[in-house]
Amino acid sequence: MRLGSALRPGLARPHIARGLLLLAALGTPAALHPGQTGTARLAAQQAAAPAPPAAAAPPASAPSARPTPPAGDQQQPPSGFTIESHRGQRPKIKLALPPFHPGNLGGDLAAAGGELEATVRADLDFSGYFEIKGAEAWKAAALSGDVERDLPAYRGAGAEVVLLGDTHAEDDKLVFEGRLFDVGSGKAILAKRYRGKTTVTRRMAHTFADEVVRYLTGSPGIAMSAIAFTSDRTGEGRKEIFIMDYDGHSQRRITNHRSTSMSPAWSPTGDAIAYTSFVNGYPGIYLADLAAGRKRPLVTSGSLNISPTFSPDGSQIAFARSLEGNIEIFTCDRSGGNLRRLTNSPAIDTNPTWSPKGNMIAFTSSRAGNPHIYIMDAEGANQRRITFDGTYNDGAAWSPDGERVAYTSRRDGVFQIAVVDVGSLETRLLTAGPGGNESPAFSPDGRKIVFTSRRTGTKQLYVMDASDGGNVHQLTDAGGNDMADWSRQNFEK
Amino acid sequence: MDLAVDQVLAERERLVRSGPAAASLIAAAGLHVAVGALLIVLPRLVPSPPPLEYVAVQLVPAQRLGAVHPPAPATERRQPAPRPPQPPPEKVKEEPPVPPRSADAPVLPRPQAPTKPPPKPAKPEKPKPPDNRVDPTTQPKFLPPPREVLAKKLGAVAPPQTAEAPGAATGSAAAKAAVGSLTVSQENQDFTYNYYIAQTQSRIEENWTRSPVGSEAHARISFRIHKDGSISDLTVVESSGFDTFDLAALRAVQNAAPFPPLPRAYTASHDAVSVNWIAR
Repeated sequence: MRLGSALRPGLARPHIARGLLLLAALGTPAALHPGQTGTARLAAQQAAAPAPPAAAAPPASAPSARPTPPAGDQQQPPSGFTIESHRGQRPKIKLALPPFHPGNLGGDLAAAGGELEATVRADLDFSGYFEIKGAEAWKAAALSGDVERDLPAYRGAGAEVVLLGDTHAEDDKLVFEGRLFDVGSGKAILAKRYRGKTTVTRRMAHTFADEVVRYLTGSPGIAMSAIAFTSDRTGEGRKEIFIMDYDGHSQRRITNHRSTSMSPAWSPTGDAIAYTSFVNGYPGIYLADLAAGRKRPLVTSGSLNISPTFSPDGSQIAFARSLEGNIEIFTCDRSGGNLRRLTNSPAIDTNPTWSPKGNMIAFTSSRAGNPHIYIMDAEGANQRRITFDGTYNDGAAWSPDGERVAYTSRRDGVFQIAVVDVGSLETRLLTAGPGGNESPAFSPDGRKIVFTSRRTGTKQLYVMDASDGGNVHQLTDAGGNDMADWSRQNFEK
Repeated sequence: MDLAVDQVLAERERLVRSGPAAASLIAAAGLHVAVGALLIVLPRLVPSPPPLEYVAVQLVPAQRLGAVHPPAPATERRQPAPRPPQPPPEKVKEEPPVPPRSADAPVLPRPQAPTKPPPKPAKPEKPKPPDNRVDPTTQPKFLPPPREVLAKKLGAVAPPQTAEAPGAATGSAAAKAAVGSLTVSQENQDFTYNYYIAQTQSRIEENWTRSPVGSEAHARISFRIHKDGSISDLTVVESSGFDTFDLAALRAVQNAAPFPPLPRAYTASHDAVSVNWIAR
């Protein structure tokens, strides 16, 4: 709570008050909720420790001159009774990334070496943690390759950390050595060596990039994560489940039902994907075991079972199920047994998503007339509405730090991605403009959101910064692609 | 049966009425009072232990002091020699740390280093020369470690020039007090990773909300950072005199943790690093 209110000075309180009033109006035990939310958030801060820094990190445009602000603060002790806050001011790490040293590479290996270097650069740049002085910046510097000799050049450029890469060949394999140095002291931080065939070049790059991010920021990188989605690229009106690397590379088909398969949901460990398929006529919940390549039905009884989502511990799946024409939220275990009903309203309740701690579920309900996002305890109690803007809100995705829920919101007749703070109910639009944007899903570190947009005419997947909707990259271009879900953990292929 | 119960009851009554029970009751009450009084009085009689003597060293980026060459810590030499890689046949597998080649030269003392020209890069961000103005209340605490101690710590293998470098980095405490409020304790002097100190300090300050208790207030917080970036032994070693201030400072560190993992090159020889942060 403390962190939250300080991040949004002056905003948090009125919104909490508003939330209180609304909760009271909804006839729920209002006195309990603020406290519960507060403790939950505090606990989340302490338990999910790596996440808060990521969440609190400033948008991409953070001031870059690191040494200056602290120095100024220290030199001028505050006078009188001022309250200082340095929050949200974390500067980017200044990383010197001169060209890698290519060894005896030829033919395929030379191409692989180039791809590896480009991938490492792209991963580190995309992470958003670094202000990178890249290959271009070092062209005129005449670096010798010897760290100590080049230190003055790195310091002159203001770099804090320098990354040196070396690629060379061993037999038919590519060897990559990456080293990180502290520019201030010239000391080594990290040295890693990878060796593999050209087929795993990108994995070598991603693994190293994640290691660099982890060592320099303490936060896990996302370069080894993966995104599942549904695509009609196979033609004939079919839709199959696909997965791809987090950067859009290596797109590959998972299902071959020759039907409509959609709304994939990763298991927390990335070993399986639950999805909806019409392969047996009625929509049912299926599970694809990625390691074994097997697919099996989980819940196919009744006329409609859709939009599965895994609980954070992987033991349960929540989904929407039709009961005599009325759609309600149910859970089942991973084998499809132990069906339990969580909601009981005459309206449609659908599209559940679990909170990262597993104690709450967000879902869409039309009980207020229009579809809106609601949250409830994982047992179905304490159902309460959290979106009040717009006339159509759907497709909730809970952020990994548990503080935000992203969803699709119709504004002026166009779908846009919005994010609501679960504690303060403060809402923010991340996208704008024509074309429509929908189906958001958070990256494992909560810093990115993947979503579907029709801005080019067809439905394609894009990724943007979760903080402000900046840094938009397109990930897909073949056919139409939709309903992305980002793996929770780094995905071992 | 009834008779037996009556007998027992009668016997009990007789015991209660008799003197000994009353006497022991009075004794017990007296004892309670005595112990209570002792608890109140004792702490005032026994003097509290004197505060721990404390010596801190502050680190600054070398370029701020105009140092051209990085300190060449001899401890790096004690790192185990990297093992030869054990390549797996097919898959990408992380291999043991690379034997640093030319790139790792700076971790070893280089006797010829001082002969190099000192092209001190003019730092564009540097707004002014190191500020020698130091808060008078804190200055006495920044005791620069004696050179001899440093040299001894660095070991006989270190050539004199290399002992010079850390000395330069830790010597002018006055300049450093103005740079940062995060310092590495004396036992971990060889922890000179500027990026890490900058990251850690930036994180703490992000979480630091100063209590409005007067501009002079400051507290010194100490804690240990372990290999994985987690912390322990978080304590106030020098109170500001204001509980709210001290607690806020502790919370700032606690909320900022965990920090990035310690540099792998450092954890080869150390499990943790002790750090002090001055909240002001």
